[in-house]
Formats: sequence, C-alpha cells, structure tokens
Amino acid sequence: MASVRLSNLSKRYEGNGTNVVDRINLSIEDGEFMVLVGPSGCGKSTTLRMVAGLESVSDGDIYIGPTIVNDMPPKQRDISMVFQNYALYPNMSVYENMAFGMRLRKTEKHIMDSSVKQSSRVLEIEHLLERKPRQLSGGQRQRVALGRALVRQPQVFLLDEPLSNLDARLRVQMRAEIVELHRQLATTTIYVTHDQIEAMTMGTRICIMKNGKIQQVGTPEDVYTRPSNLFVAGFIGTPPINIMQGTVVELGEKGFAFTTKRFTLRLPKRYEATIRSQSLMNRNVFLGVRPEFASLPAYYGGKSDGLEIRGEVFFSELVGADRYIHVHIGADAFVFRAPAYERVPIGELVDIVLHPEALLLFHADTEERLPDERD
Amino acid sequence: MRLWPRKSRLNRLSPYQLLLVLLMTLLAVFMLMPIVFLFNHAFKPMHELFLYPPTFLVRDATWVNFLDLLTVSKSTIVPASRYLFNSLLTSVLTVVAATFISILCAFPLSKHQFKGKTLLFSSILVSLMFAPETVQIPRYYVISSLGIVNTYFAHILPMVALPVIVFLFKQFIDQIPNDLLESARMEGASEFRVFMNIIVPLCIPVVATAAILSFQSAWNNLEASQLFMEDETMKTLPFYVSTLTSGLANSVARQGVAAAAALLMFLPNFIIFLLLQSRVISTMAHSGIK
Ligand SMILES: Nc1ncnc2c1ncn2[C@@H]1O[C@H](COP(=O)(O)OP(=O)(O)OP(=O)(O)O)[C@@H](O)[C@H]1O
Ligand SMILES: [Mg+2]
Repeated sequence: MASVRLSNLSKRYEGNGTNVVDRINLSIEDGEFMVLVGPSGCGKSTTLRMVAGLESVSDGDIYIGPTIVNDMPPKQRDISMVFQNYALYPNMSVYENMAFGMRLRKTEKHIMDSSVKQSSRVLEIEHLLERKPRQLSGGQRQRVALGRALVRQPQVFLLDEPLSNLDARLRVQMRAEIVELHRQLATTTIYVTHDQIEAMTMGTRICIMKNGKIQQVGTPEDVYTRPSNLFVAGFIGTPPINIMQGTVVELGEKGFAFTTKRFTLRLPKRYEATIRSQSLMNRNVFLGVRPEFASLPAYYGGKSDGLEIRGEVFFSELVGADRYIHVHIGADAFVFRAPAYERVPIGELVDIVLHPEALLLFHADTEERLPDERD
Repeated sequence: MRLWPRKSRLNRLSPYQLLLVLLMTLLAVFMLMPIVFLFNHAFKPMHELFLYPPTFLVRDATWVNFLDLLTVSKSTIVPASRYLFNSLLTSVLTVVAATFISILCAFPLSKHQFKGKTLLFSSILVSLMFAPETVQIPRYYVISSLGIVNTYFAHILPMVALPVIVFLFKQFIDQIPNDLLESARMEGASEFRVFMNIIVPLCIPVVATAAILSFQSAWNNLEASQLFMEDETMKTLPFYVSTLTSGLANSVARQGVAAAAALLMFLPNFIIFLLLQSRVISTMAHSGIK
C-alpha cells in the first residue's frame, strides 16, 4: 500500500486554454479513503484519470509512495480502477474478468484460482463465476467490477462514480459494503462522486472541488461544521444551508449584530475578534444557518439569546422522522427542521430560533468563511 | 390439435402496415427471381434452354448439364478440380487475411489519436468510390514490381484491402466503450493484448458480414486469373466458367454446361449467406447501417 500525493497538478486540454484541473495539492495518506466530490464538470474524473495514468499530466507531479509517476504507464503504477459503467469485458466470464490481470502477469494457476475465489467470497459472487456480464444484474455487475479491482491487491484503489448506475436502495447497501471492504483491506482509496451524501458517509476525508480547484479538504465533520467558503457550505448538506445577506452593525457594549431589513440578530462573541481585525463594521456579510440548527422555540434547549426570526410558512415536507418547514422572510426563503408530528398550517407566521453555536459568517466579497475563536 | 394455436400476427396489423408487408413481399419476390431463374436454368434440358420466349421455371428437370460439365472438365488439360482447389484456397485465405487486417486497421482508426488519422480514413472512404476498372493498370504494375505474378499472393493481396470492411469494423469499434480498453490497459495489457483479447472477440458478430463480403469478392474475382496468372494451373474457377462460353464455336453447345457452372459458382455464396445471415442482420442493426 502507498500514499498518493498531488503537487501543483494541472490539466489543460488542447483547444481550450483553461485548466480543467488547476494546480491542486492533495495528500492522501496510506490507507485513507479520500472522496473527491464536486458538481458536474469540476474535474474530478480528470484528476482521477491522471492518477490512473489514463490522462497525461500538463503540469505538476503525482507521487505514488515516494515515486513520481507522471510518465509511468498505467500498468506499472500498481493501481486498479472501477469505472462508472463497470467496464466488464463482455466476451469473458466473471472468472475470466477477474483473472484477466493476473493472466497477463502469467500468475500461476493455483494462485490465480485462490485469489479469485477469495475475492468472490468477500463480495458474495462465487455462484456467478461462470456467467457472462450480460447475464448479471446491475448490482452484481458492480460487485464483479469491484472484485476485479481488488483481486490484484493493488497499492491504490480508484473508483469513479461506481454507484451512480444503481437504484437508490442498492446504492445505500453498496455504500456500506464498500466502506466495510475498505475497513478490512485498508487499501488507499480515491473515490469520485458528485453525490455529497455518498461523500459524507464514506470518506475518511473529503476533497471538495469546483472549476478544477480544490475548495476544501477535511473530514466529513470538518467540511460540514466549518466549511471554508460559501460554495462548500451550500454544496454539503441537504436541504442546503440557509444563506442570508445583511450588514454588521456595532451595538456598543453588547458586541455586534447582523441586520437586514426584517430582523437584527446578536452575533456570538466568538466573532468579535475577527470583525474588529477585518474591520467589518457596517460592511456586508453572509450569514449561514443549516436547517438542522434552526427550530421552533419549543424545541430549542439552549438560551435563545435573542436569535429569533419570524417567517410565513409556505411549504412543509416530511422526510421520515423529520419535517422540513419552508418559510418566507420577506422575499427570501428559509428552511428549518421540526419533528415529523409538528404540523404548521400554511400561511401561519412562526418564530424560529437560530442556534447561536452553529451560525456561520462569510465575507461578502471573497465568500470565505470568517474565522471565529474556535478556528 | 389446432395448427394455428394463436391468432396470426398478420391479423393484428393496421391496414397501412398490411399494405407495407404486401409491398415488401412483392419486392422480395422480385429480388428473388434471378436466383430462382439461376436454379431452374441449370436443370433445363437443351431444348428448353433456347426456348423463345424463355421460360422461367424448368419443365423437364435433368442432371444432364452437370454431367456435361463433368465430361467437359475431364477433357480439358487442367482438370476443373484444380480450378476449384485454387478458388477455395485463395478465397479462404483472403477471407481470413482481409478480416484480420481490416480489424487491425480499424482499431487505431477508431480508438487511437495520431497525426493524419482523418486524412487516412478519408482516403479509405474515397477508395470506396473508385470503379475497380480504374485501378487495374496500377494494380498490375504493383503486382509485377512485387514479383508475385503467377503466385497465390497475386490472388490474395489485392483482395485483402477491402475498404467496406474497414469502414464496417471502424463503425463497430467506435461503439465499444473506451472504459473497456482503459481497464485492460490498467490491468497490464499491451495494445496488442487489448486488440487480441478484447477488440477481436467483440468484433466477432461483424466478422460474419465481413466474411461474406470478402468471400464474395474473392470467389468471383476474375481479374487476378486473367491478368496476373500465366500458368493455367494457377487460375481459378470464375476464369474456368468464363472460358466455357467464350469462343463463338462453343457458344451454343456449351450453354447448358455454362448454366450448371453458373449455379455451382453461385452456391458457395448462397450457402455462406444462409449460414451467417442472422448474424449479418444483427451487425447491420448494431452499426447503425440499418
Ligand atoms: N477530452 C477533453 N477535451 C476537452 N475538454 C475535456 C475533455 N475531457 C473533459 N474535458 C473537460 O474537463 C472538465 C472536467 O471534466 P471531468 O470529466 O473531470 O468532470 P467531472 O468532475 O468528472 O464531472 P462529472 O461529475 O460530470 O463526471 C469538463 O469541463 C470537461 O468539459
Ligand atoms: Mg466524471
């Protein structure tokens, strides 16, 4: 097994001059499960394919272990990859698909047999070994593709949206199985997805990309509670975080407040230092509150501390144990969470408590999150 | 027991579809006529062969034409079996070589990037449009400078380059997902392994079509025997058949023999097509030709 390091890695295609992957630096520890996530076209696949050796590197370096592999052909990198469309060889049986790589390396028959047996046992596809790929269901094909990738026991495991062709239920199941597999094998893994839930549930760390640039790298908890900028805050979490624009005003002794046409909120003490040092008084900022950290007053345990706003309910959606209530505050929409049994009539005005410990502030121009005492 | 357990499918068609079926059937019958004629003609006795107006179906079917063919072939210096052997050998070798080389050519055209690729592919397409006669002289020149006149190579080599097949294979390989090839490369396959273990097996359905096309052109090829072969023993069946009726003195006498020989010439094509037809149709459907 090995670590993977990307150093100032860039990719340009001929024809359009822009970098589709733009000087990214990323260090993936030995045995880590790193998820690359981002909207469509942000360069996730391109990055992964450069690590695989399927795309040339325009600038920068890729290290696998201590070696620079920029110009090393894929087969010498000792990595294996699972493709979105599985890429099983239609003309070969499941067994042959899994044994193909070893056959090319002229592995002895009994070693090959036992490796295939072992991997297929782990993935519960032993009974399918004789079948052709077209005789398998989507989920079975996915397993075979995984099996083919892990049978060689590579240094690094690359997966490019491996679950996106499966139905929702199967996706959840395979998600858990892949995580479990990684726990058992502890092979360095890079996993590409555009699904933030997949990223949050699977990754040891997550790397969020946009327009070829890395926005943030961190544990799922990190990126959720301390997103580095507005984009990350909006990308991670469903329903997405509420963002409101307003101005910082000074309240004298009482510290600072965030104010809009409709309401004024006392900002928590932990932001004071930043507001002073960046002199944000009377400047625009964005305030972010996740729906999970806003509630009806009855369900808030902490001291409300003056962080109440008021909105008119226009929609409420039930998702299992929770209900998300959508309100209008002036022209802006705002979502918060309530228990499923809470029925709020449409059109009613409700008070909403924002949990002060979860308030996020973002700079209006750079869209970076403003640091607080906890950073 | 009922013969038609279910309602015939024809009953379920709309009048418009019925009309189409009818028209298509008529067209099919029309297209079939030469073949029917060919079969009947070969079995006609002498007096029926020269009837005017000619009859379509044979009345007194007879094997006499085939027997005559046998006698004629015995009386020539080179036995007919030698022509047949030459024909079979060169046709089979041509089919194998043409198919393999066409896939070999189509693979990089489809899946690799290199300078001049578009130019190369267009020139292959353009060569589809040349009438064969226009290239006879240059071809003779090439064959004679290669020094392969009067060898089997001269039968085979000109037939190996079949632009239609290259085109067909390229269209087909275009549809093979790149992931497959990339996956194989990552597992350590060389380009040749990728070609042999993935491209070729996946192309098998098209091979049927390619085989028919190249067999037809090779089997019916008269040019090589006429232009490139000096020895009678190196010539092929189409040449032999053409000699049966050529020469004024024989043109009446050998009509029956010629009819029988024409049928014999046609049969291999026919059989191969029957054997492979279901595959051919699926190729057409796959490659977007249908
Ligand atoms: N061969 C190519 N030539 C030119 N541009 C390309 C090529 N391949 C990809 N791109 C561009 O590179 C960018 C990144 O593509 P990439 O496939 O890495 O996106 P992605 O993040 O994987 O998106 P998705 O989630 O849709 O798979 C895209 O804007 C795409 O248009
Ligand atoms: Mg992608």
